[in-house]
Amino acid sequence: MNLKQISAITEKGEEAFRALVKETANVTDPAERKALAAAIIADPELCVPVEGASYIDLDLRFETALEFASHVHEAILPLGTSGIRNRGINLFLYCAYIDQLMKGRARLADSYFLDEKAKGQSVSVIRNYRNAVFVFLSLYHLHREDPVICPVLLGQAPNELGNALEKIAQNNNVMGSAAILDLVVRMFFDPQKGGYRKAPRQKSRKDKAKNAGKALQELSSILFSQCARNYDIGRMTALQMLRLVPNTIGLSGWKRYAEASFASEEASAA
Amino acid sequence: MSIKTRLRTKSETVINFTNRVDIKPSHILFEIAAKDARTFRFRITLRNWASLAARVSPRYNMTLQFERGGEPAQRVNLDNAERIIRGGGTVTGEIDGGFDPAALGVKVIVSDPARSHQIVISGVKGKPDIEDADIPEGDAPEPNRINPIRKATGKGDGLVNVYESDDVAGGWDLRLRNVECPHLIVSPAIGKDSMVNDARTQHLVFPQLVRHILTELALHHDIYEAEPWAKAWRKFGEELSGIGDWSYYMADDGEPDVDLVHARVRDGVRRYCERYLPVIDAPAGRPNAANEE
Repeated sequence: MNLKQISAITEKGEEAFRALVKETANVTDPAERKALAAAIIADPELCVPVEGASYIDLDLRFETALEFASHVHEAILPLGTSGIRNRGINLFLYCAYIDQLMKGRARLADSYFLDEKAKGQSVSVIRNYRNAVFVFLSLYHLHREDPVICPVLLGQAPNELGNALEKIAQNNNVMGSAAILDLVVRMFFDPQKGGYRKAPRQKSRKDKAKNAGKALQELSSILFSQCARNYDIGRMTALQMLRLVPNTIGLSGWKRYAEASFASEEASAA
Repeated sequence: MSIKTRLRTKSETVINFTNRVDIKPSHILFEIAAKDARTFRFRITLRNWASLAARVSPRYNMTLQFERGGEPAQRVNLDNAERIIRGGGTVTGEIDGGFDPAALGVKVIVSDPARSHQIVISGVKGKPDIEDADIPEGDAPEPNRINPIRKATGKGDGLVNVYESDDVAGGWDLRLRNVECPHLIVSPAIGKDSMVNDARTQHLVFPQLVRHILTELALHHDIYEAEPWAKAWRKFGEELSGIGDWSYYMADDGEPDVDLVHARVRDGVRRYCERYLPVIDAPAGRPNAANEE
């Protein structure tokens, strides 16, 4: 056990971290970065403890993102949500578990710095949803009481975001509402195995099934660009939203999954 | 030209299918201030609250959704949008902070829970108007400077004019005959200022005033028929009837039935108090003796 108080990377430390990401952008074994990251944490000029925060165990390694989030969240909780949003603390956590959080091929360095405006094709916007630690912790913080959401969505290894979670995190409406996540989980995720469900069988051969990622994209564009104009999505229940979503070719099969899930829940309650 | 293209052309009249009212960004005043390193205090004022008042019902909810790029939206759920809007359209509160508020936007949504939370009124403000506003601490409500009766129609002179005069029997009196709209005469001992601004005086006087005028109209319609204000007050009475019709106050056969009129008007007055009077607490330091016994 190697306990360390939650700390924040200083400005000088940020430069060191940026250099680390650039230097080791593509490695065969993510553990190669471990020694460099440990050096940043150990240097009192690059990393200072945060007053009031609790301790994490640097030796711990996690099977799922849920384990990671619950361990870290407990230490960060005294700081409130500003601890999750704090750029220095976020980088510190990356350094602490760098071999698990980053894949062999790292993302662009900008993705690791919260509130950094990353340049897109024409505009530069904040893309905090690409930061895995931030997404894990926010999701856990908002929905840790829910028996389904966290175990399913954080059920995989705690490394760079999979397609599914990033797509969810991209939309701040989805992240903030338990009911929407409930619907998304029922439609697209396999509660037993975690991860996306298999695409449903279509009724006719002509219709090509959309995969879960594309269907999720369609669902969020229907919910947030069409329904949200006229309905207060955040206050609706998952069932109310399901009724609002039209039976398009891309979504009708996925809707059947959610309908079955609601039906079985109703049957077990009766 | 097909309907589709007509809807797209900006110069054409666009049909509002949803009946939703959109508030202009310039009508939303969004102020924010850092309370400490972790918390923001916000104050949102709907400047056009008076024109929104006619569109809200007591069952509607208000939601404030604070949005910032790449982060889960922070939602503040408030019940009873009507009370907020009729009370001057101002909401204050606290949200999680610890970041630069310049990029923080807010969405104001009023929705109807009985229709799957369909939006009735909405408005978006992309960034705060004032980032270091002086927003008072504590939950003490601000002094209410609204005369609920005068604002009831939301336009024109309103339903009652208030005058201060020595020529009055008691603390206040009503003049209904030969006037452009009912005159509420207030004795100098109470004062017009207190009648217009003080919620406690309003609680004592206005329900009686509404009761008196509705009863008179229901029982002696022929006397007041020619008065210029009678139409507006009948309309107001219909709004308070709960069924939207003046026949609520009348007996089935059209004959005046004093007991029925009194009972029905009593219901109307109760609705008036719920909708229009500001909420107040008992005066501090004077426990209710009856409850203690």
